[in-house]
Amino acid sequence: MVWRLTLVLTSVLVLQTFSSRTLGVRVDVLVMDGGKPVAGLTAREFELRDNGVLQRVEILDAMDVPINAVLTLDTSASIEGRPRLDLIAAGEALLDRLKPIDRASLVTFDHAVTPAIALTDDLPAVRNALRNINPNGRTSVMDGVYVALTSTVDQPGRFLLVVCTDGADTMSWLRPSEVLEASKRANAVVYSVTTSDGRRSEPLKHLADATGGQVLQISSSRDLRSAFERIVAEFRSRYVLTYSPEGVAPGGFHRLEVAVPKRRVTVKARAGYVGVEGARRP
Amino acid sequence: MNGRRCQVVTLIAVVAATVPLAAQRQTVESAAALERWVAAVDGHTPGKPDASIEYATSIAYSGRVDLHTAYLLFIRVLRDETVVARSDMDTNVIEQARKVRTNPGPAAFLKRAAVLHTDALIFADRFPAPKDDAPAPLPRVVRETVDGFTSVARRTDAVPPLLLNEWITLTRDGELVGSTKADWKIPFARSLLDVLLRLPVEGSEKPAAFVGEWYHAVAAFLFARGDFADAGPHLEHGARVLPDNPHVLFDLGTGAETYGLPVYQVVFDDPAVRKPGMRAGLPSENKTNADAERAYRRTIAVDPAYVEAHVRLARLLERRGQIDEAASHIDSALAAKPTGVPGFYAYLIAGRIASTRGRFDEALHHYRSALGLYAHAQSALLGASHAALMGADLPAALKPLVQLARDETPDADPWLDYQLGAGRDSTALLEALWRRVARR
Repeated sequence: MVWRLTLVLTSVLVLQTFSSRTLGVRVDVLVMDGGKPVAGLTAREFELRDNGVLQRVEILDAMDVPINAVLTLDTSASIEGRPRLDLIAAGEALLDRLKPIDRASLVTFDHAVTPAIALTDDLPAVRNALRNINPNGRTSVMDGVYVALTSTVDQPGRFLLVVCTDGADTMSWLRPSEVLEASKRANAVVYSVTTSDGRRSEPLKHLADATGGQVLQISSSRDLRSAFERIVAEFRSRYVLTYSPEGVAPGGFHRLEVAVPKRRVTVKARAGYVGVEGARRP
Repeated sequence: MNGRRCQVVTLIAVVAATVPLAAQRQTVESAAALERWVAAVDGHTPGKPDASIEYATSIAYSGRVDLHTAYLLFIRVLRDETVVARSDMDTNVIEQARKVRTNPGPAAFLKRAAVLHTDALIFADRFPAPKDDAPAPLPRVVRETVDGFTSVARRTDAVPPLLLNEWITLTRDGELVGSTKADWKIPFARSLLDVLLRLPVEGSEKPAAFVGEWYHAVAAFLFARGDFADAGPHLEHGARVLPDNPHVLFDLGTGAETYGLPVYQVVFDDPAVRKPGMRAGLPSENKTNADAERAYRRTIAVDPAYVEAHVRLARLLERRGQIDEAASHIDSALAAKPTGVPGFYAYLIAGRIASTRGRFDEALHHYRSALGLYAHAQSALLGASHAALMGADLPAALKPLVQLARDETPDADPWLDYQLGAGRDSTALLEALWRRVARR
């Protein structure tokens, strides 16, 4: 199946409809205590500031909101052999952990980006495309991530973007700073799994920080499966906060601060979003 | 070109290792080596993988040592220097050289010889490689680079080209994957053309015109196969002997600019580079971009209408934060209404510069102009999408990605090759060169 991006937009950027009733901003929040997710928090325990202004938040039942998993996979020549098989197994393990209401898509990248499968609930189709990945060429990580991020901007639901690469970005047209800007207009939590460290993984780290995700450093492709499984488990344990912004101008960049003041916990959420004032709609 | 992106290795950097000069006494073997070489030069049809090429690709290091011994005396005679024969073998070599001086003449012979060894590199894959009988490289001369990486002295002109015995590093997609022996054929061809440039000019055609064409064509060939290790000394030497040739200066800039791209700069981050005894031989982005900028400015000083130099200088200046001057150069380039790949690249860079200035409508206009030339180019599609997204025009941001999804020719992006110095038709340049030699 060939990816088709719909041009019939049902929502704009971060302002979306949730459960057919609320119009507002949605923020995926991970609360951790000693490396373990904290469950059972109430809306009253969260403090969320939008451009410094305290907002009244609600917690959506995450079970109501389907997960849209966007697999964004490096298929450059370097994954030939065992890494390819490990990558397929990891992708399948992730798909296995999705529920019937969830959807998935597949973007692959070497030097060329291929939106292989558009967002679908036909998970066997995604699985089939995954099994047919063909290692080739050089690596355009940022270009691949951009295409994956942009595929989320006109779609409702929670987006989990899983980026997997074994090398450095060598051939992207788009710069990390440009993709980072795009991430502020998208609606996805970016998790990255990489064998690269140091400078090579810095752009992925910045994306994770901006979207409330994480970079998982692994030492070999054998660890891919457990990394993918951990990502899904962690994503499911997140809180989905929503609010209708009050006391702030709608346009421009909105800096977000999320805290659980009365607990000694670590809170991870996206750093902000770009408001939609003036956006051109179809 | 597409195949090159998928090939296993590309070449970068030089690991130097020199050998002592061979003794200069002529031997039966050296005289015979010269005779075979002269016959190969004489018998070669430019651009054909003929028996002369088979010979030229089969010369092992020991054969080059023999040839080198005779070649030194041969060249002195070709230059019409006074020489004294001290042995029968000297007489043999001198006699061979005198015959060449008479027919076809020094200039024609040197051009043909340079083309023979150029063709030997081009067609090397068609013949078995000779056994590597070179001595073990001497211990590396280690020094610290300004970047703090352990490096070694680069090859020097003091090593005769026929006796080159160097290692170069192989990379693939930013990873070190091994090493191989550097090419000696192009350096030898260069040395032959150095001799040509010093000959008295005969007739109306200046040797510099042929030599300039040769440097440009060989640079295009080396770029096209990703051979930057061998291209480096080639470009530097070319700029030394032809300091006012705009093509040579432009190629020098392109080689330096390419080293500053992520595909080479990320090699610094490979842990293997940091191991003791390993060298990068790769300049930092700042240094190589400064080298490229200097070369492009010299190109434009020599030929202000050199559109590609304006475009590439604009890219560098934008990268280095000199946006206004970048915009000025890209405006100069676009005013010339470039077409084809250079035109595409000019619009692409214009899009990037406009985007950096926050002029997203203008950026979108430039990216669309680029797509007017190459409708399937991923770089322009993504640039257009990003510019529209930043301009809050969501439908326009999504439209190029629909095209990307439908695209069944994802490699149809000239930027992928062009940014690496390749993208020009090296075959056409080489064919022109072959025709020049064939006419003589």
